[in-house]
Amino acid sequence: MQKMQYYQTSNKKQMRKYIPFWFLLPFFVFFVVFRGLPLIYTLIYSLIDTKTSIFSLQNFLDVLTDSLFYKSIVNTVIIFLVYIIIKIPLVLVYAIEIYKSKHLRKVILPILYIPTLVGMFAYAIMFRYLFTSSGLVNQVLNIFGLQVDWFGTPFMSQLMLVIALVWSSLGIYILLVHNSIKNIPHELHEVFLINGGTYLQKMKYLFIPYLMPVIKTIVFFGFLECISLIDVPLNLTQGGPFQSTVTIGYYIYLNGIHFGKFEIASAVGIILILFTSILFLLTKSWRKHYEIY
Amino acid sequence: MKFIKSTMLLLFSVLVLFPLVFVIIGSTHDSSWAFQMRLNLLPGNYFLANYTQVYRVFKIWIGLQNSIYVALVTALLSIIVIYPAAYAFSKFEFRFKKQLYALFVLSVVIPLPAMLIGQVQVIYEIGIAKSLFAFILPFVINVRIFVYLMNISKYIPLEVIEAARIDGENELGIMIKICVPFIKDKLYLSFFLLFVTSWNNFLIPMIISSGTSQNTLPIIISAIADPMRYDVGATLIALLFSIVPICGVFFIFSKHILEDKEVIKRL
Repeated sequence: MQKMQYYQTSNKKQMRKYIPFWFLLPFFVFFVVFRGLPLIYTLIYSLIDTKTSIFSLQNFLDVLTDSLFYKSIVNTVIIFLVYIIIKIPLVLVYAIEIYKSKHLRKVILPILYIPTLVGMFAYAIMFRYLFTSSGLVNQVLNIFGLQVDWFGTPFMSQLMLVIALVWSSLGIYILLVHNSIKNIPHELHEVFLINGGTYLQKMKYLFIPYLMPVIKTIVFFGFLECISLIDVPLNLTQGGPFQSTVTIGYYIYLNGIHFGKFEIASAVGIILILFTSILFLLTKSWRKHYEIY
Repeated sequence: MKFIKSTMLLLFSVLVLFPLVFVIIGSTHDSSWAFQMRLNLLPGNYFLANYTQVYRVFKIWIGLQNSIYVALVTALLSIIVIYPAAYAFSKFEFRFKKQLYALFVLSVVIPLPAMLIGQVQVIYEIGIAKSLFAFILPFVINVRIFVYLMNISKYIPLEVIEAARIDGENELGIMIKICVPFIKDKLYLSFFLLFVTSWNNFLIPMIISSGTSQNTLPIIISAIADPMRYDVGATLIALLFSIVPICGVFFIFSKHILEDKEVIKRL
């Protein structure tokens, strides 16, 4: 009797060792099939030469000699920088004001959150109609005697993309920053109450140091967002005047789906993956303090 | 000064809703309304005409149906697949744990468009390209939700789990009966985020979709919005079909969303 009990417990312990693997299995299977396999396929496609069907680096050469490729990189970087420059101050100011006033919070947050529910393709289409030269925005501006040619110059079109990006994720990031502000110890606020201080001083010494991790998060995700941007250029500007809104993602789409040149698109994809992986590893120390990664 | 600042912020926030106002009012007008030089914010009387267009020609109700089905199934399946994995990572130690975690995290850095061709290829190879599952299965795993649920599960006290083990409960039972109620709110939130992501999923469905019965709302809307067609009223009404349901879902879940802290970007 006692011997049987001993074996029973040992069996249970052994089974328990494998339990986590069972829990992990479905996730892992999906991961391999829908993240691992595409990667392998993309790699294989990028190494196949279209004309001779043998493995070669010809596709990479084609990409690296294509001026549109470099242009798309420049476009993506410009869009990313402008996006960050506009987004971060906006989010910070909103979050701080919401933190100070509970009334504002209850009203503004739901309003700002709603754009995040609307998909990117949807507001790309909306913006396309709104910002044409006789569209609604110009109709409103006409009342004040202004008229802006929103899609006229390359930079304006890129600005359109940035506005769409900022608009779509305001709510979420304001929430995030607001919750980080809540974690700042109260004593530090009191220092300013006692000693007095201007808005800028408060920003510089109180908020920004504590909010650096969140700001880095915004920059990190913003970067990923800009790199993956396909829906918006596709629906809003179709590559924009003189190809100024061709982002890297849209370049992949153009080559791969539009022109059907799978191999070229795959090669671009591989280059992109290499680049972001290197960037990720290089900035590892910069992101050290996250609870997210 | 404070009053001015508040009003300015409020004004800007209202401005943010301007595109939505545009959609609502525009759906009652015909196409020329959006481009005439006079501002006219009153509702028109083209609502029925626009509706007939999207209903008869573009079969929007099928699109709505498909979108709801796809988003629901994706969100549910995702939770069922992701949560046990997140739970295992947060409460168990096992071999290769660190390596697996590194692998999952690295996959976030790889932007999905980079593997666009590969993804399409896999969908065709598996043979689901003609069914709605092509829009569901590739999007079941979501590493951000995984990391989020993992971090949340860390707060479930170990004593409760140990007590349940002593009482003879098996691990699956523990996960379902004890840990899930602990983090039920966060699971609702994750469900909502997954639902919204799937609802607005545009790229892969557009590339793969093979016809009316497989169309989801984003595909239909972008087809109506095709620059050659120039039918603004119909587009805006179709947009309403996409926006209104998701706002409804939002208001159902709003309690959970706005109180939560780690609502990081959907995708």
